[in-house]
Amino acid sequence: MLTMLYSLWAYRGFIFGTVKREFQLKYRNSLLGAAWNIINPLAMIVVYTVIFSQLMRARLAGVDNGIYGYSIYLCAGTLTWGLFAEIVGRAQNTFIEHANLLKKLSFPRLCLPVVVVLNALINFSITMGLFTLFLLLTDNFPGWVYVAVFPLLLVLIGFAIGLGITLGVLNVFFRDVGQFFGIFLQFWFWFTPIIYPISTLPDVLQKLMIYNPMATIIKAFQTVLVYRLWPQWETLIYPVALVFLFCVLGLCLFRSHVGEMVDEL
Amino acid sequence: MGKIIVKNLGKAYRQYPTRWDRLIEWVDPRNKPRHKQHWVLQGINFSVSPGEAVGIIGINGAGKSTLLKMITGTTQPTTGDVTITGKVAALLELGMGFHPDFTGRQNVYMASQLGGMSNSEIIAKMSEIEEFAEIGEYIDQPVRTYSSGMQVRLAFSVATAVRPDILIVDEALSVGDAYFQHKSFDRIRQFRDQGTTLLFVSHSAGAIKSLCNRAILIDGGIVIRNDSPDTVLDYYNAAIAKQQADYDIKQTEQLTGQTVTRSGSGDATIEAVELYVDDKPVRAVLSGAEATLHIMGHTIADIAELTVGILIRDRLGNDVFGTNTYHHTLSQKGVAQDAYFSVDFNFPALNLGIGSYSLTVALHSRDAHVTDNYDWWDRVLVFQVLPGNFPPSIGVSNLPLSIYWHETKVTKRKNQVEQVTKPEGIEQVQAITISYEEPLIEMTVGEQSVITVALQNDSEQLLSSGIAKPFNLSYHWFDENNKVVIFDGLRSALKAPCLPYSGFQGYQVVIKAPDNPGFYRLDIALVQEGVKWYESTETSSMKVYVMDFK
Repeated sequence: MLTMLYSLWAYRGFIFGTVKREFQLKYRNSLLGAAWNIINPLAMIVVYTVIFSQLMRARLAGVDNGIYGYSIYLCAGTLTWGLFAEIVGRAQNTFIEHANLLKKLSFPRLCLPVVVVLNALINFSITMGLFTLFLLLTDNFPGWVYVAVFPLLLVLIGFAIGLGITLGVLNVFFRDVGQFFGIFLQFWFWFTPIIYPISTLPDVLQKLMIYNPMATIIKAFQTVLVYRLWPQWETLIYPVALVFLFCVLGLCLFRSHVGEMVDEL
Repeated sequence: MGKIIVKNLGKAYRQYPTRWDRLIEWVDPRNKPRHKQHWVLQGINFSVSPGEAVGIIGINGAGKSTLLKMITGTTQPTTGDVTITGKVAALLELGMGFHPDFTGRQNVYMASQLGGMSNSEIIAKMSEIEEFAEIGEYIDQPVRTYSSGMQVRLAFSVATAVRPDILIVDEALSVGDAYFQHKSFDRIRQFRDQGTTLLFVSHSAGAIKSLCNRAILIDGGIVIRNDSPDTVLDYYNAAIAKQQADYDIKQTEQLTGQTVTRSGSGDATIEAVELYVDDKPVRAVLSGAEATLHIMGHTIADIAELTVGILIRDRLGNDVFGTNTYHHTLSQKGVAQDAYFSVDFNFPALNLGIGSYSLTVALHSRDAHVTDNYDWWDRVLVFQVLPGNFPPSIGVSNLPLSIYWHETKVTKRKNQVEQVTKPEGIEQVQAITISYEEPLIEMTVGEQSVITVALQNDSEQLLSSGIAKPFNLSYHWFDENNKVVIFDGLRSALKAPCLPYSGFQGYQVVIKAPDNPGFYRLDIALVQEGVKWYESTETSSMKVYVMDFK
């Protein structure tokens, strides 16, 4: 484990270089270039706030954040789900995408998932920064409670990358995994109270929600950002346990099959 | 540094009957394997000492690339292990894992970072890499817009930007054009001379002979021979390449048997054509070997005069050699109908150049098939000519040749040189004459030109005075004020411990033109390890006009 971390450190130049290159590549052939990194998330936030608060005038039961209550609820859920989905989605394809590199050069293969996480984090920090700015401007900033976001993010990222590496290794050998998980992610999104409040679900489903780790994690984000309360830390025991489970599983799978992976690509 | 030890190395790929079997094997707790192992390499043992240059040869699919991949660490061996000391640079196949959407420059960064270079080191090397790759403004374009030659050029430049302890090259260079091949082989040779260990896969016997001091032949996943390049290549050409070419051609013959073109009246037909070497039917012949063409036919009608003709064509369809029985005054007169005949064309030495040839056979009357064409069979068989025990040659013919050296004197040219002032500290040795056959007259700014220089040593003293240090050819550019603009001495062609006395030898010197246009004087001199200068008399200077780049 330590040697793994050490080899990653030795290749930090490559990791940071690749993160930088992929970031540059994204809007390389566009006229506005890097501006799109701001415009895209900004547009999303505007849609959620303007459409839902102004036009549809949706209100969230039990929230008195004024007209933006539902918008903040939406953003808190979709932004964090977006980070999760990006990490899992990219990680499960990262080995296949970089087949060319894996087959021709020798380097610690774990660099690739690390690049995925760092890249997703950059995108997320831009979006989250804009969202925070929005909270400050509309006087909805939750105050000190906001720092709870960071440990929550740690759990979210840990879960995402543990799952991502597991799927990434499996996907090399069984391409069905990637296809299947794309569909699974859609269902998962709608089975998690992100755009609807949990109270709208029937009782049976509400009880089942405790088995959905994403529901617990997203709920904690919503507690902080919408209700401005500290999250109920004890509910996070189950997701944290899953984080360890998937990280261990992912690394075990990775270590036992990393050699065979190159033969299969 | 630069040592490779390969011990009992083997690689097997897993083959599962179906995809489901892999899944079952993964989840089945009983740990029972459901795959078959397909061995591509087995029990490979060899070691390469620092500074050695080893060539690896074998037919396609022999496992050469897999071996190199295991040595570089991209593929994990199934058995055995590889021990490597020192920094490795590897050029496996094409492109070196370039990302198609990144620009050339970004890929250079990526590859160098993977090679363990720091950013400041890369920045320092960047211009050198760009210059060597010679891809111009493409360096800032995505790699997917590159031609394969450009990719290889860039990959080679990156991989060899810093001299590695071990350089591994896998046929990648065969993609580049001749110019770049020369340039890259020069660099490889230079690294080798500086002590880099070289591991080199190539189909080119010439490259292996000239670069390597040892060759390893791999066939069927095992090491067949590990010996001097000459021994191994001879064995390879005679035993393995021949078999393979034989087999490949017979395979294609079976596949494309219907496409042969035949025409003619059918009064006589060709029944069978076969090429024999040592009484065995073959499709691959060593250049210069004895071969016999055996043609069998059958007459349907009475034929007054039967001529059998053969024509050998190269792979582009050019006629290489053709003749017939009429020209040899051996045509059969008055052949009755329904007769079976056979005729042998015996070549005491089939002096064809290396390559693939097709054979056309025709039955007609008199001297050409225009009169009466009975049967004309195009590409009745295709055969391969492989390098025999001859010095390498090119072209469709391999003419028997002997070369004799006579003492030669170059006619000296005296026209363009005006008064030449020697730079200080140059010792003149009258006994050495530097001359050139074609003077440089015009060059373009920054251009590189090759000039052939002849050296003649008339002094016995130089040899017998025990000079141990090698000589180099160097050149100076002087501007109109007689100031040295460029001096390049150490990278030149000649590296001889001494000059053969009273002999005459030609050398090629690569000359780079100055960066500014104008009139210059170019002096070629002989230098001994940068310590002592020798210069010839009048003939080593020439006046050159350097043109502006347009």
